[in-house]
Amino acid sequence: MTRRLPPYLGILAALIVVPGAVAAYLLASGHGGAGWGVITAANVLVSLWLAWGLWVWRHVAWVNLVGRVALLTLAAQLLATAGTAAGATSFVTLVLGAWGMGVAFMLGLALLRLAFAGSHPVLGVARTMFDEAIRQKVGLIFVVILVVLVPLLPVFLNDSRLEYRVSNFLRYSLFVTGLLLSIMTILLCTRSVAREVESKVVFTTLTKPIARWQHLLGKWVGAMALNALLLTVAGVGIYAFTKAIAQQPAQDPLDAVAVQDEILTARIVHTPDEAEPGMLARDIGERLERLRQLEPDFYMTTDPVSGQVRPIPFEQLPENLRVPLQAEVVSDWLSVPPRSSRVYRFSGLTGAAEYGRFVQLRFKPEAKGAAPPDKRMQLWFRANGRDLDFYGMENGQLVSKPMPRFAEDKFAVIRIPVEMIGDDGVLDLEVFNGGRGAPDQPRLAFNPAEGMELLYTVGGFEFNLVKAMFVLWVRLMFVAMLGICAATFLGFPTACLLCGLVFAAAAASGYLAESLDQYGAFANEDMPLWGKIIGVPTAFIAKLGEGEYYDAFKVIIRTIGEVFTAFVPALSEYNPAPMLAEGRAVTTDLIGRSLLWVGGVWTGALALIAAALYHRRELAHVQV
Amino acid sequence: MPHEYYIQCLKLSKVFKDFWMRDRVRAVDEIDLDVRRGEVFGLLGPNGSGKSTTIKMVLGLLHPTSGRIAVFGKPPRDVSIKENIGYLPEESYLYKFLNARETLEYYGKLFHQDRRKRQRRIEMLLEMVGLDKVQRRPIGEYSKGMQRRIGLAQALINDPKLLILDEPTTGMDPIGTRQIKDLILRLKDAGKTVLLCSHLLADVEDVTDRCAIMFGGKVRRAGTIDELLTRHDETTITTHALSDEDEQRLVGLMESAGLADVSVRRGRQRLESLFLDIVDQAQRTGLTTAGAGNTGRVADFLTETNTTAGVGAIAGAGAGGDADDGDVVIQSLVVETPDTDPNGQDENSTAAPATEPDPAAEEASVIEELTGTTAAEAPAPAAPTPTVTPTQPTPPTPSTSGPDPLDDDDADQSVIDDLLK
Repeated sequence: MTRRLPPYLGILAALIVVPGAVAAYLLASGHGGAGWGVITAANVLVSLWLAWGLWVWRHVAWVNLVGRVALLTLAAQLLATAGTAAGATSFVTLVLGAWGMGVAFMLGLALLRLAFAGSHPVLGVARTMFDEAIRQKVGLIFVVILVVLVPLLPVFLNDSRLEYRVSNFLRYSLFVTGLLLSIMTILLCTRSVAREVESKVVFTTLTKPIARWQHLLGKWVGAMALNALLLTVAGVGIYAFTKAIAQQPAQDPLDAVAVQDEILTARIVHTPDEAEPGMLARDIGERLERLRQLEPDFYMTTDPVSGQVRPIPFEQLPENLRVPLQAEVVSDWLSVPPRSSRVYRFSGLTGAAEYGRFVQLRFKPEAKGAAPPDKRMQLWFRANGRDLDFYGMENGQLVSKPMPRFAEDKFAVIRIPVEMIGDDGVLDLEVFNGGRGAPDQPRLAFNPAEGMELLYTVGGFEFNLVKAMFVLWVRLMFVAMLGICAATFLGFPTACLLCGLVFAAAAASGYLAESLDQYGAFANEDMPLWGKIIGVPTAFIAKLGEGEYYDAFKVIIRTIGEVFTAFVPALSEYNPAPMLAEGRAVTTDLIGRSLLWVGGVWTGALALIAAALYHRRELAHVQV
Repeated sequence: MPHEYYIQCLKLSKVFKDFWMRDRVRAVDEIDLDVRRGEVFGLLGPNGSGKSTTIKMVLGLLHPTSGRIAVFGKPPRDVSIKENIGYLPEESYLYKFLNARETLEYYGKLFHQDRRKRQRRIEMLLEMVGLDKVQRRPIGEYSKGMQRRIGLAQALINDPKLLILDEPTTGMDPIGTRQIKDLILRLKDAGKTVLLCSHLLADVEDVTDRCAIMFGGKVRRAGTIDELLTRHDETTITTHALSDEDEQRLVGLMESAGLADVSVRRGRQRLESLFLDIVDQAQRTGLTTAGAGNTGRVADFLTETNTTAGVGAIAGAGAGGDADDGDVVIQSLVVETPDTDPNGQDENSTAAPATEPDPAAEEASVIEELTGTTAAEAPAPAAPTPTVTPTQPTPPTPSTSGPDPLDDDDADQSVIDDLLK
């Protein structure tokens, strides 16, 4: 047997051409059976010959890669075939997803190693960081968890409706991916930098012509490359499983349409405006006037100079009076009394017609008061003055149907043809509470947050997933730099703890701010942070003086919380998981903002701190 | 000549402080030290004498508490000077998950070396340190000696002008030790400068031109090896092997010439040479070993350049205008030391310890011990040569301020002439 390439390739060509010619002759001369026999035999021979080649040249990097991919593919094929024969479809799904992730991992790894082949010191450090993660157990364990956990998710999702299964899978898988990678990044970065200083390996590196900031940059680049790789792997897995789940039988035709139109898509969301500008402000003014008469103690003030009693303007009201008033007006506006209607304006819809025939109105009708016995509400819509038909699914086609009764407190979607949108991109939607001739029903309300939205598709699920993964990656930029920064002045365990704390606060920033608001109130919520801090001793002593010891304690806790949240980025604002789960487009605006604030400002600030600390740090310790 | 002094330390101190910023340890105490281009300089001292701390300040890993350092005429934290430094730390601080080749790849990249140059050097270095056969095994699996070897290879990957070796022979077998010593000498011949830090005195003695002996954070004595080691109270005469008869006759003659305490010893070879001979013979009979190989060849690129041209070009590239800055640093150092004149300085007046005020008795005994041991291990001549050691009747003179050794030689010559008449 030869180990030289030209003879090997010669034999390979012969194995393909000779049986090919023989088979062609046999087929042409009517010996079909013999022809196919030759082709099959030749296929077997060629496969064996190729396998042998892969074995002989397994020490060559790319041959090794091809060999491994081929082996994995073969194994997956065998398992999938067996699974299909046994009728275990979810098993087959798991196998195929894991195969996709494995192949993506191998190819991505090879690609990144190639990218780090350059001869710049930063690339050298990055490559070593990358190898460290892959070869040491920290990185590997997370890779394994990711590869196992993401494929396992669909097994645990058992909602009856397909749309919820798909939606929940997307939500949880993105959440799990983001969380796991963040933890891994923190562990990897803190460990790599802190342990390197601790074990003095850094001596050998930093006595070479590489600046200390370049050393840190290299670490960061390596970690981000690993994150890119793992996000790609996870992305491939999520994509494959989402598609696989979406192919499961839907509960009803509407369910099937919902999966395609409301989840596996990328939609732009518009929230309603006032139909008449200034209407809400006028409403607030009227209510305020009434309140001033009813409760002058709260809504009127006495001028200290002239002694004159005058009303407090809305903007100057304390937050605990102003916010509820505003909320009341908005929720009143978003509700429709029985047997009447209200007009909501959606504007900026000029582009909608480019993307399809319909825009979607997604709403959740809530009954204020006793809900109807069947928990359903009758609604009626007019768009720009024209009655709106309900389009339902029949035999795979959208057909006009009578308006159904909508389940109370559940999201529903109706389609509005784009022709109904005005040329100026405005759609005035009139919502009737109750239908023509319908029985009485209670007041109808929509949640101000997402109770009524107009959506239209601007792109496909695939690209949206890529964008969502990118936003996750941008979040990891911050996390990686956080780990590196902490490790420049702390040991591994302490740095880990600090990073965990900051990350948890950043990821839950939305909830944190909300709960702080509810926990303990400041005298004046509108003050800037420093003002609040200065005011703390006064507030604390005042509470103590009143004998409210617990409240005094709360003031302190609240201040600590405020200061802490002020110094972590609001990562929850850049969370793509719910967007993907609800089929919303991850907008360029969101990507831009995340890049600017998370990837730029926060990561940059941390990088500067890390570079300054590391530059000044004495890396050796007392040894006499 | 630019950068005549590769390393200059002036009144360099390092005090480690505790959490409350109180002085805890005075590791290095106002030392003056310089390493000149082309020499092998030994930094000696017992454990904890401040050698490693000094080296770490030179490398920029520690900041001096006071005093100044210039390396290639620049501050030690300057990244550009690192182009020309090779550093072997006291232990192998390497990535355990990389193999030998990847390790050298990594360090080569830190020097911006392109792929071709890197590969060429890696091949040579792996062969030189005898690890070419095990280059694909992760360093974590290497023995200590093998780790030292790969450590040495990484220190040489940039063909450094200045090689700083911190305890280079720890963990090395005698062959490896010999190879390192040979390497140091070969590198010196190729014009490299070596700062060797060790407490293995025999190693230092074999290869260094000058050395400084540190204790308690101070340089206690410094100078050339000859200056430090010549015993002015004893003369050694060597000759071919003598019969017992001749030996007694010679002793009798010497004693009759008025020389006291004459003793005769058979020449001994050193254990190191014996060991190396045995291994050499075994290898010739074809025995092999599982560990590191043993080529003993020095990588060509380390010796093919002559100092000023090849490597100097690297410094020139990095320096350019910086060379002037470097001179400024030197100037500033010089200006602050009126008693140190770098240009007119000869080797005897190098280091500060000449002006060291009367050291404590304890310290003196340490030096005594150090120098004594070194003298005993001095390289002996070939095997069957008896050594005759007549001790002069004159009282011993302190080795620091003794008379010029040449005068002694003249005096001895006359005695020998008398004897052999």
